[in-house]
Amino acid sequence: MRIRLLCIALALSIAAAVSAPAAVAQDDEEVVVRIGLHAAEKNLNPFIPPKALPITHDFTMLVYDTLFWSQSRLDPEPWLAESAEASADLRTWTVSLRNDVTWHDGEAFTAHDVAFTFRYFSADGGPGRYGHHVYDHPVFESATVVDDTTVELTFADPVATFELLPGADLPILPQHIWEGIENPRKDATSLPVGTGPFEMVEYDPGVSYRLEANEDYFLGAPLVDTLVMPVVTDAQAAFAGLQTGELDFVTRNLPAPLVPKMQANEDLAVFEGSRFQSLYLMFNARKPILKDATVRKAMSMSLDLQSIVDIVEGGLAVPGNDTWTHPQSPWAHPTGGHEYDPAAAGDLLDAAGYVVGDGGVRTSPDGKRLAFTLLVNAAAPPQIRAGELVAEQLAPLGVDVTVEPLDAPAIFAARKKSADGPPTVEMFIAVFESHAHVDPEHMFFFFHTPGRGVGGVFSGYANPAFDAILEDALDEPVATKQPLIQQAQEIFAAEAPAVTLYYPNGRWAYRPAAYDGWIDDPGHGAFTKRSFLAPYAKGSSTAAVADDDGGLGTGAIVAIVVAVLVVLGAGVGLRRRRGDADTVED
Amino acid sequence: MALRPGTRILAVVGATFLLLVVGAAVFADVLAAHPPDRASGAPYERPSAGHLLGTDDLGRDLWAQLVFGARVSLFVGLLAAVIATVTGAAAALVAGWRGGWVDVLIMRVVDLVLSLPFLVLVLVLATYFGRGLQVLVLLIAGVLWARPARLLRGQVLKLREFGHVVAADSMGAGQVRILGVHVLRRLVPLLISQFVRAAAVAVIVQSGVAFLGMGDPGRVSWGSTLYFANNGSAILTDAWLWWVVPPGVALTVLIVGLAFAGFALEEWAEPQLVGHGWRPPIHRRLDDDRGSEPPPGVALAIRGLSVDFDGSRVVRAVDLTVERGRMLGLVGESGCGKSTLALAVMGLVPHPGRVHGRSVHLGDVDLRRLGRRGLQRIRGRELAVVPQAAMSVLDPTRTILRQVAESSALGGHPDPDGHAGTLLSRVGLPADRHRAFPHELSGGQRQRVVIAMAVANRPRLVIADEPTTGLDVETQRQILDLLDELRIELGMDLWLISHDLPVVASRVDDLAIMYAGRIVEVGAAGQVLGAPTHPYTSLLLDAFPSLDGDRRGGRPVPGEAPDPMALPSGCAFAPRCEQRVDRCTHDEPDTMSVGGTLVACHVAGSAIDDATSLGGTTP
Amino acid sequence: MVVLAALMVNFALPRLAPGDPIDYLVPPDSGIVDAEQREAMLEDFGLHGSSLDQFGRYLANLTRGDLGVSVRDGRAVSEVVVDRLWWSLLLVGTAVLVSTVLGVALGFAAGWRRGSRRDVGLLAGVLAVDALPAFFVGLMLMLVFSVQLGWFPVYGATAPESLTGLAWVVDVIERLALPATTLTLVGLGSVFVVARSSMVSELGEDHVFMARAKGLAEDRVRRQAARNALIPVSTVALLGFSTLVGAATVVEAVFSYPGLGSLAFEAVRARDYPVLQAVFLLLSLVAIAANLVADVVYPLLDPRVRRVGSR
Repeated sequence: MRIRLLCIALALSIAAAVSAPAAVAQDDEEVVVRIGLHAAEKNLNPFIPPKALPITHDFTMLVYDTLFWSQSRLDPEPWLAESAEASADLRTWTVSLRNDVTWHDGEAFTAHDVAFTFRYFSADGGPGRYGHHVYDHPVFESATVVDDTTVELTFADPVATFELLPGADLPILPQHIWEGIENPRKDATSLPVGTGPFEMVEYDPGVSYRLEANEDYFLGAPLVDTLVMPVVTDAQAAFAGLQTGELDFVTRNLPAPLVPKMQANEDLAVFEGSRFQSLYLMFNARKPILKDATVRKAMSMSLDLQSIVDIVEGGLAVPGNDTWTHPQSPWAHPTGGHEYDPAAAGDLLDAAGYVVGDGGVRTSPDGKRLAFTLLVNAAAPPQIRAGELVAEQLAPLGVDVTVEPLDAPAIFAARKKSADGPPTVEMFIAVFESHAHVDPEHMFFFFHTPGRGVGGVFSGYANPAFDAILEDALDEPVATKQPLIQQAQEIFAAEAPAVTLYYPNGRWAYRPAAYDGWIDDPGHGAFTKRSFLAPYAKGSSTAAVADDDGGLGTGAIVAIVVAVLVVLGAGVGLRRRRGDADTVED
Repeated sequence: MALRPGTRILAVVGATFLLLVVGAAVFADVLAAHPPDRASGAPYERPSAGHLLGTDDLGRDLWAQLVFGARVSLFVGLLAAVIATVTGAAAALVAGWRGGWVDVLIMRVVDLVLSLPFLVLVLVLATYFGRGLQVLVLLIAGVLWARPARLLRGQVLKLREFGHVVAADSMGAGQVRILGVHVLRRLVPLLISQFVRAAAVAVIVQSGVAFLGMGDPGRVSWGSTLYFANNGSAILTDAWLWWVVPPGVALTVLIVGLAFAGFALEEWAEPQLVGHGWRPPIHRRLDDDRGSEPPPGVALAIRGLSVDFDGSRVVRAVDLTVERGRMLGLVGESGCGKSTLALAVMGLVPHPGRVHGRSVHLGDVDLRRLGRRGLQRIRGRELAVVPQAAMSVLDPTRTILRQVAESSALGGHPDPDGHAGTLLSRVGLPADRHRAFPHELSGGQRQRVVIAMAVANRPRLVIADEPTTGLDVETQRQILDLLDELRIELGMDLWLISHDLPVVASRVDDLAIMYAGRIVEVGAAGQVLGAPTHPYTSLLLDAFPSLDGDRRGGRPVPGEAPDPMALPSGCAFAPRCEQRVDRCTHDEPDTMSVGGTLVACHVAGSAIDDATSLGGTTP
Repeated sequence: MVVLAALMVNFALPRLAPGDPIDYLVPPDSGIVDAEQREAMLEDFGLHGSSLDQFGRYLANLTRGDLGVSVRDGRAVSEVVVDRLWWSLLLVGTAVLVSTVLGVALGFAAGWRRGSRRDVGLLAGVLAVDALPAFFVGLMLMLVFSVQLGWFPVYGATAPESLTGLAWVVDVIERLALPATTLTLVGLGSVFVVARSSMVSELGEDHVFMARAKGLAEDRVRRQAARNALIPVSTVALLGFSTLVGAATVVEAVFSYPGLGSLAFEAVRARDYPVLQAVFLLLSLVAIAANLVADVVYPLLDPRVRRVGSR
């Protein structure tokens, strides 16, 4: 009798499965887009270090806004701000704000919120994705509210690129919510209130988010009414969900072997873009042998980065550049490339007295074997794979590399300076998102000798000449800053404190029937607020926006139109250029 | 001990699977043309002659990963199992042997380890220490040892109480020797099965950990191949066929091999499992019509009934009759086949027993010519039994009333519960005990319940097989009185079987003596008891206090009952017989009539030969 | 004693790992934390001070029912765990239920005719199914039923769209189907083996002989044997519960199912000590609860233990 019951239960569940609609029917009125997130990002609390890289910033910016957008370009577009004027010494910036902005809870957005945000982040001084740009560099001093739409922000040092950083980076927080929060890391646990195009209405921790369109958004209501965003940590499940119709977009990069399958699927489309990521190999320059730039450079020269790109990413990445910075970043070195010459690398080591010893492994002049452990994140197969290839390619040079996959906190623990001394790590592979390439001070921040920035923790690289150049560059306006940074990048290329293995491109699969407005916002990729906003989104007309939005002055409209054209033109240009470069390299 | 055919199949399949994996591991270098951990082709190649299973995301040969993966799984499985079982056994021996606080301490640790969620624990630990396979093996073993420790300790405790160990202990044999020789040898079966189990669990855990990308995903193993396949979304492309299925199947083959082999080893090591296996009786119905006519006026007539078990004949060509209205007693030593005879009559000889015989008439129905269903309809209605071991024959999970009512219902009684209540009261159970469970009753009360069940449908014949085993003398008497009363009251016939001659002797009308599967003497009780013809009967009578109170000696029958597997040639009783003659050791005596009783004995027969020659008549 | 030791182990295990919650919260490239900030951050989670202090606080809070704050998601641990607990109970409960019913039915069927072709066939079949690694079964089920046939959703416990009423129930059942099937197959073997051997040994019991001898038809005999054979099986089935909670980790990973196993897995990666402690504690409690339930169920099945000391 038990069997019979079981059969009935099974039959019922199968019947239920078959009869249930495969997906919620699409309403013509309402546009719902279901996005599979590869990781959860809590409640987008900007004080908590990112957990869902590389989408953390763009996810956060669906709910919050910045004064400008975005840092990937030298001339960011005014966003919450209408303009920003610097004082002669570049220390004080007067920001005029839009007057048509409201918070998701209906409160009006004013200059007080901006002043509060700067003061609050500055007072916090704790770790996080955003805060260090107001208390580390540039160092924020004070804010004065001139009137409801004007605020004066004063910094300790001259700030040449305020619009970029912190202007296009720092999320503006509502004073009326946050002023009551004493410990932002602990106490800010409710749904976020922002000014952004979407309002978070539901958050099931670690499971899913639900965002609804902010109909009163100052740039016009977003083109999508609802974003349903389940967290699907398993890549395979995510892409299966895309195929079965459960998801409309997946934030992960589409793996190469899946491309033909997805392209063959009539319901899906694939497109590529850039999000300025990098996957790099870092040496701990405090370690005895790794301290020697010759050793690091020789290792760098032995790496065939193109082959790593081909194997690990199926060709969908730009091989690393010895000058570190992403080639599409405004701060990229114009002629940087990768020097691959294994024979010369061997000669370098021979000349420096590293001779080949037992088992083909070199020993240093003081008799130590060139044997290192390379830590990679066990949860990130591309890192494991890249690590294995690095080990394979360094073996002929006479460097013995053992790849050790560990989980993230274990790697972090090894990378961290301990009370007992320097970090124990020798080499590791990790990933950076676009911010690490578009931040005007990124070279300073990561590679300046310990003291300021995270340099000390990060690489241990120390070179006074390099430091001096970067220090000079700090206060310079863009035009003079760029050449200085390029100078530093050249030193970097020669001394190889780190090797960028490759810059992954973005490649996404999506369901056009659900939403087809995805664009490639350089440095952000497809999953970014502009994909949901007219006039940026694909197929949305600029005229319609201008008609809808009476709040915009004519000048602003012209500015936007021009900006869009510039952005599009630049994007196309960049893409074409990269395409050419690819062809040449192939 | 031979394996049963079914188990043998499992053993063969298991061994084949294991050999397959071991073979792959040993000959991996020969079988694989490419290294498993170096690229030998382009990434994501489809299967080809060069790469039998294609390549993975780094262009590594998947076939090579498959055969080399066998090494990892075997290494982990075997090593973890060895460590876990050895540790577990050591802990069990120390705990079980030393007892006291050592035992308490060790068992608390075992409880602790067992109470922790196993896989989660390994996952957690693997993250922390998972820098190499050896560490993982130690971790798995560190969690796996607790179960064998607990099971083995139970065995050690049992063995400690075991006679010969205690004896060896008191004889002063060194403790170490006792441990080594007796205990370990007895623990081997359990050790083997626990070893195999631990190996299988270790393989599963290692692959699971690797599949989750923990431990050391850089090392080529079946689990890590699946990890990269999963991360490469292999099941969304055609690659699942050569990237996902082979390592999955390989794991299954190894674990199935271990499971089957373990199962077979367990049966082999614990033969009692095989011996106690119960299967329904093979009832071979005679379907010829040449059965003899039912003798008139008998309740039960058995003719030429034999029962074989695996080639040994336990019941040998028995002829026996229960005359209507006369109580028959059947007496013999334990193991002489008397209970089997009763089972054969009821058609309940367990597998693999085989029944042969001419006829078994119950009234005018020949039970030998009834099918399984026919017999089942006779049982409990026409023919009832009060079985041996009546203490444990009641269903422990139901009240006695329901069990008796069940019997009543079989006879089509309109109100089974009411009838059962009446019956229980009749056999002497107070009404407040009717809804008791069997374990709440005394032995005598349980026996009464069984009797109530037996007589529920007024059967023609009740076979009472040792109905009073384990009861005190007074209760024995009461039970037998009850049976006697009911017999008269309900007009049934009764066949009483016992090893205890005095219990039977005073009540029965006819008496049969059984020895080594044969009826050696049968006749009217007074005659058999008064003038025993068979030497065995005489010795049996000597063995018990005199029926009239006068002690004739009370010495037991010398010697031991013969093994039915190896009956002596000639008369089975000859080796113990004080009166045996030459002939007794070669020729089996026939049954012959001597002075009113039937007897199977050359000596008694020769006496009658004389008598016949004297009297000049032939029977 | 054991409870205290278990608490100590629960407390110590998570802390054995290299790295601590701060390493998770603040990766080296997200800024530097000085000792003071570090201690302040740890204090947010009650993880400041020496290990002894922490343990003392842990015990004290525990007695008040306070499990602390999750490092990973800043919410009360009790809330985090309870969220997952329901799904775990649903998934594991379903699997235990189905695997018990199925395992008992098949085990009894095999044991009833021990050594027969049916027995060997069932035994081989079940042992083979049992040997399939859970993640492999999960992947294959997903491949066939989700990817190829599209019958079932591929991830999660509920649709991200807010469904209500019957639609919600149907959706939950759909998403439960594949992981529960996988887990059922994992749990089937042990129940089957116990049910089978329990039936085999029950058939050797005198009361089964008596059932036949008193003329019961085979199906009644079988029912009586089954009723008695069920007693040892009940314990195994209940204890299997806590085993399956752990085994569910892998299944939850394949199907992105938000259960306790995957919570533990995520917590390990975040060095989320409070959550790990709570999960361990909870699983220990589940084991204890399973034992208690077994103690309650046992007398229902076996009247012999219903009244203590009757004989």
